[in-house]
Amino acid sequence: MNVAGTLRDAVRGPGAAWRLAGAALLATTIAAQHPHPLFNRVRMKDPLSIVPNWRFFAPHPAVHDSHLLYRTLSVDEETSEWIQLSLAPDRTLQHMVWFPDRRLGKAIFDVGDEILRNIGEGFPVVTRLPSYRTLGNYLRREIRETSDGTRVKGFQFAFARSTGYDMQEEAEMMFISPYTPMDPDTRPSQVS
Amino acid sequence: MRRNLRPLRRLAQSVLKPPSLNRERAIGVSERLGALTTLNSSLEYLTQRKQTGTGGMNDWKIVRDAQGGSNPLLKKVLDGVSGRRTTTAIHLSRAAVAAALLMPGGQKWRGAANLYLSATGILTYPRHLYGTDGSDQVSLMVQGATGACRLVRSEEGKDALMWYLAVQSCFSYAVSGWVKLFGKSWRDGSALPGVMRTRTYGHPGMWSWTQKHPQAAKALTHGVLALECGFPLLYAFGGRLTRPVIGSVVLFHGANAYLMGLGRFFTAFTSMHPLVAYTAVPKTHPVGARRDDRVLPLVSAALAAAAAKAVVSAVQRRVGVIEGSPNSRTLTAGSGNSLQYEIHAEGGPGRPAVVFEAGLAATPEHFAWITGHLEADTDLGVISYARAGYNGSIRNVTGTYRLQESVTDLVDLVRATVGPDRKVILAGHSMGGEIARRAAPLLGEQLEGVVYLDSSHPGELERSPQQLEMSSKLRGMFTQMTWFLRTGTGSLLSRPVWVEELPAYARERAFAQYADSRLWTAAGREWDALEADFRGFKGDLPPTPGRGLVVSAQGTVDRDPEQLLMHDELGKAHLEGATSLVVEGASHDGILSKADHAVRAAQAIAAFATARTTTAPEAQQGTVK
Repeated sequence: MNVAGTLRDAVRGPGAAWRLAGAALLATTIAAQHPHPLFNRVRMKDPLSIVPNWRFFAPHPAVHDSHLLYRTLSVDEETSEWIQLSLAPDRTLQHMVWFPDRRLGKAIFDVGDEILRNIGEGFPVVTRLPSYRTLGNYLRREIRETSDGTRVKGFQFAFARSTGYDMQEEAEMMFISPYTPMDPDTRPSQVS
Repeated sequence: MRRNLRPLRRLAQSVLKPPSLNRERAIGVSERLGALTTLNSSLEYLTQRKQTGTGGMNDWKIVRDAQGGSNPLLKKVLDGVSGRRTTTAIHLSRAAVAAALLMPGGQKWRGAANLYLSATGILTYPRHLYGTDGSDQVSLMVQGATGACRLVRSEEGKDALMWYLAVQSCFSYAVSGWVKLFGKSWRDGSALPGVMRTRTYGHPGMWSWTQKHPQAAKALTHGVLALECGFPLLYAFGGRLTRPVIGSVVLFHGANAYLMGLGRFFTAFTSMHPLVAYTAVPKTHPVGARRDDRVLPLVSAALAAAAAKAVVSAVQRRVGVIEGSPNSRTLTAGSGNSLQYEIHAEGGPGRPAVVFEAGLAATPEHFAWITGHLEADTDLGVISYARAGYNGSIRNVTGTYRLQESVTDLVDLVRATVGPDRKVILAGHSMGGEIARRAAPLLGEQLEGVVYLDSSHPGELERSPQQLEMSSKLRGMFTQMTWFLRTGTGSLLSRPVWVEELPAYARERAFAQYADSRLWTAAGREWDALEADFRGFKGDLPPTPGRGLVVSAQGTVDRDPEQLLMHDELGKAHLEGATSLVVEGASHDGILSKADHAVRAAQAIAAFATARTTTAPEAQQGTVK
């Protein structure tokens, strides 16, 4: 059978609708796997993330750990030291089958990634991102739950990256937020 | 001495034996592994409920804003399933249904259960936007297809769905492998030690091993690449490679579960393997003989049609870019380069003409807000053009490109388009500012001044660590973009934000240039010249004739104080003085693309031009040609 005949046969008969739908979805999947992140037109039209992303650790794997830090300003105008939140618990054998904390670590990695990708747009844009607002609220709650949380009037947070078990390289600061008031309705201002 | 090789031969025969999995068994194993993934996933979410409330990493009141482009109906549906209690109820039900799927059950019930898991997986995916991963996507896909398999009556329909999952499984490895080849660390073998050193996805013991055995670690990295890239080969040789290849990737996922903490990925990805095994059963086997493989030619045809459409789009785009806007004109510079330009406004008699010079990898349309404002609200002459190699401007010089080539082209453009008695203001953005600064002394008395729109400074690679860091990435990006667009994948580019911010009439042309390889080829060529020129620049800027107007983007000077100093020096170098302005809230590109920032810049340019008119009206003669 020639090519035209093969295709004609494939679009007819029982299961033709499934074959057509499958072929269309597979072609769409390939169109969504471009190595460069700017070529993401298909993915932008997929709000429910139905089209899978098969580019795991590709083309550039994550070779750094992300660290989320914050420092607070108290009502007495005292600034705390930078405090690091623990995102990557020490691995145990149990994590092979049960690792719910992975979700939180991945979530903070995702918001950090979104913030860093948009940093070139400046703080007025970055501070309106859902990722930035999410992290701000997350830290407000974390700070309130600390022992002296009620005496904090604002905070600043930062993302740093390190090389994990490889101690030969220094950790590097990637992003420092403007001053953020504990009351989200207060207009934030920048601190130097 | 003869050895008895029979056991080895038997082992080889059993390993290389083609698979013989039938349809029912393949679906049954697949859906159970998928159910295990969902059970694990939903139990994880139930223990992490704190993250779905106020102050959580997935507070729907905030996360729903990430669905900006979604239609209102979809948003309503997502709102409906994203209340905290509803989300909890959904995960409780998902866990219960997934657990039940591990047991025996009727065909229709299992089909409906799988479809329920898939549908709720899709609807809750945006709700848990931050923290989802590939295993979630795999399980909703597997459950959707296996659920439909259970409910579809025709065997041909079932086979189409099973082929769908099998091909997705091949894509999952092959795409991951082939895209990795674009990353230097995978090619040179440093990726695996790099990942293993992290606490997030690495393992101290494994990292230590990679340091003690670098050659073995490199071989292992390349082995993983070969396994992923070559996964589809399991369909070759009559299915004899199916067992060894699937066995290898099962080991690979097992290692990932232990070393990287990716346990859910083990059950998620292995849930596609039974479908791969079923579709790899050779046609000589009764199972293979009955299987309907007609989806494969359709997949090939769909990919070929998409590729053909992409090539046609790329050709159309190129033709449109070369043609330029309906109002564009062309001149040949002394260098031999053909320059496409547009006179937006002739301007009033005696008023200066402003000539715009775009930045690296930028388009004349970047100035659309500014030229539009000056055209509508002032009587200045307004001209924009494309440097050789951009838009419809053709570079005919055959030698190595130097910045001076663009400088003399700009001077030739001014001489050809602006009357000799008329004053000229050069306005350059980014690298365009540096070209304007160098062209200024060559214009003699005709020069009124230079406007620096968040301009480059020749010392920036030496003085600004941020610029230096960015420079190491830029060249690679220009090369990659050139090749990706030459291969016709421009149709897959999404419109960048800056294009959408431009005036509506300028968007199509700006995007067409951005998605055409010529822009990136020119940018790469210019970057090489700029980097060679800027490296080693030390000392002060030479005096620049005329006046200066330095307009900085707040984002640029905020991120790097050295940039503010350099912008200040650009102004101070002008012999007739300079004024400066920082546009609040603007970024490097946003100073042109965002209407409010660009209008601020345009107003500053208009005031800059008017300042001289009021002090030296006798100098303002001439017309735009």
